[in-house]
Amino acid sequence: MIKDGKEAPDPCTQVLTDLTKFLNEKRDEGCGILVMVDANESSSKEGSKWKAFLTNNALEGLHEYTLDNLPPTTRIGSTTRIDCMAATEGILQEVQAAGFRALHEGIISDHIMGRHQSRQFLWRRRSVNNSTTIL
Amino acid sequence: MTSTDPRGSKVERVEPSRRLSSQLKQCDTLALAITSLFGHDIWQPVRSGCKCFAFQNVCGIDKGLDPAPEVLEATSIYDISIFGIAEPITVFDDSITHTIDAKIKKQFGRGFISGEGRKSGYNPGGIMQLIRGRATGRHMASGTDKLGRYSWMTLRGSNTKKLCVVTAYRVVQGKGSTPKYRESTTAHW
Repeated sequence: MIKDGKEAPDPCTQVLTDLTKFLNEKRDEGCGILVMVDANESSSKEGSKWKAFLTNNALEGLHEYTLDNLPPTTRIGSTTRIDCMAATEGILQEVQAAGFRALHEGIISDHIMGRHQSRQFLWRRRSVNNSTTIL
Repeated sequence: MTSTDPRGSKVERVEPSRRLSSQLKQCDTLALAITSLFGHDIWQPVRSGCKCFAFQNVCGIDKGLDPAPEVLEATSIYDISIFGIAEPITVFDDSITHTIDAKIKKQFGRGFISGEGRKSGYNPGGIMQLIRGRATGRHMASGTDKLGRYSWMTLRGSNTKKLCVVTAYRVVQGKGSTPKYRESTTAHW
């Protein structure tokens, strides 16, 4: 960014601006969106840039949508959930199960692994029996 | 509070502030909380008709002649179809990318990674996205941001439906560091 002429770049905010632009392009192509991010900021924090990003892009936290009981944090040394999986409404409705692995599972790291299972709505062909239109 | 070190000079010992001490205690408590899993019991096997998506900040993957063995092991154990990884802290040159792709094909039959970051030197942060198995057949396009901040894949479905999966890493804004220093320490510029 400095090479591009920005004297005092703000990468923390710039990535959200650029990602919003990219997601809008994909949305125009007719894509459902699933975003998996280490946001380094909580989506539940009032006034946070990350929360504003989710709202502006019509994204909702997948685990918040699916689960009642959430881990207080996703990283050792942090007091909030900074790792996030967020998706658009159509994708959220296809989620069958979601959760977080325990710290000792997954790959050894100070972050825990978030995961979910989604129905294969994309590649499931409509059954002939469900068809109501007979031409 | 003061103490005397072996050389005889007095050393000033700074007590941690009460607020910092309280925060550390809270972090310890929260770290204990995540030693158990949360959410649905999603052990293997993945439910019939479902695909498993996962995401983790791994704080660096193994490199060398046998790169990313822990990633492939986790992918296999948890039956993950699409795995987003933040901070692999790896320079994804052609050599390492081809080696990991070959390992995925050998272990799972189909699949590949899209990794991004600097192509030489040291690459802090970065992004890696892995797709394997049958989901690979639905892959339409993939790419990465030129600054290595996010990586994406578009999957094709029936009835013209499409899914775009994006893995991203949002860098922390360093406090007290100059832009030039931050540029030298992060790949996201």
